[in-house]
Amino acid sequence: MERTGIIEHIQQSLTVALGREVTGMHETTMLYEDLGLESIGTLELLLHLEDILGIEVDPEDLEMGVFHTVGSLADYITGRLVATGTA
Amino acid sequence: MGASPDTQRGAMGLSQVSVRFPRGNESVDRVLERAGYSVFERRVFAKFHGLRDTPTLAPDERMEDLLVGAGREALAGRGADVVLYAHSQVVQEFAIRPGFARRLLAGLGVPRAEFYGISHINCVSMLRAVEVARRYHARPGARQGDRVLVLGGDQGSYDDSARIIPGVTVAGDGAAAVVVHPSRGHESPRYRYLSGGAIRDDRFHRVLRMTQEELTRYAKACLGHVATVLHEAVGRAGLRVTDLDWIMPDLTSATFWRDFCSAAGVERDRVCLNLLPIRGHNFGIDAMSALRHADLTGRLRHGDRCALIAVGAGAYVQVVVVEVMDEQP
Repeated sequence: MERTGIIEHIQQSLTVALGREVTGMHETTMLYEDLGLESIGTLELLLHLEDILGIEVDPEDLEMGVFHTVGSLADYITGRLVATGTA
Repeated sequence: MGASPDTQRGAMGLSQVSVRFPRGNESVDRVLERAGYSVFERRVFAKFHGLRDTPTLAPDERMEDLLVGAGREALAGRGADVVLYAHSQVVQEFAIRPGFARRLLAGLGVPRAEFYGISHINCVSMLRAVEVARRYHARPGARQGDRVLVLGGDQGSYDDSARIIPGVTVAGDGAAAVVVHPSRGHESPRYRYLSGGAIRDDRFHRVLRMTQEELTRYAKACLGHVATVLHEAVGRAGLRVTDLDWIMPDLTSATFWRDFCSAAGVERDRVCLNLLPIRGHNFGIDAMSALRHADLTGRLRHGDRCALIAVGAGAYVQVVVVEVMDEQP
């Protein structure tokens, strides 16, 4: 999957997790500071990404840095897509 | 917000901990489903919080029997001068029936012991009771042979609304007991008390009535408070957090401890979360239950330093630091 596709999926999942339309985000958009994502929302975001991308998130692998920006989350998802053979 | 006024080091010991749970469990998912949680919300509890089963009394089991069973085992036939019953739920059906204290003391085989409840501090009640017991032993005129039985436990299953902290955890039924006594004298402790610490942040006094926004701020604040109190408590023992061998946690959720370890730089494998999926959160007894489990499974060695940590809605944090002593025959 191309990077732009991953970003689109993140945007779609953020809309679900935040309960509002998310538009105009880019790689450097900060998930917590710019978008107001909180801890429970983060977990809902990950579950939604699991569902739509067919990846498996291991909670033990998650570091806080994953959720710094849209780009860092996209990097993590790329890694999971490779791990599950769906890249 | 304020720290506990009395957290000084004392020459005090704790007996082996005893724990009692019901025969069976209910699945956390089923409890949440009954309460109207969506599939999505329930997946968060299972996948991220690590909660699977919650101990639940069967119709023919009684919470009082769990308390008596745990207490008698901790007492080991040696009696107690004072019994402190630490609980999170303010009103519990079994405890408001007339004669509860008298029945409990009789069941424990200590009918003449003084009996006090430690409550209104939610899930830090049992660790706070250990501090209260330590202060009892530090009173003028204290005797070497004095013994205080600290008993903890709640029946969460009497009502789903009492056992679910929205978005955070599901609590079950269980009891734990430990005898607190001077570390020199008539008996040798299994654990030597090293230090303690506490804090309260009353911004979160609305507890179960908190909004989602307050819950989010509460979760963040608790991470910082646990780190602060832990740092202060180990400091009082002349230690650093890196000197701790084990952390015996509040078993609210794996999410909290993952976040704590990341934020505080604590290695995850030092936090004893083994019981989380099978026992989950059981109000104030989690850290004691984790300590007992670690001891039973041979994880503890002489000289190991353990920090017992409890977090209570409200918000309260309580830490007790102990050192493992030689096992007595």
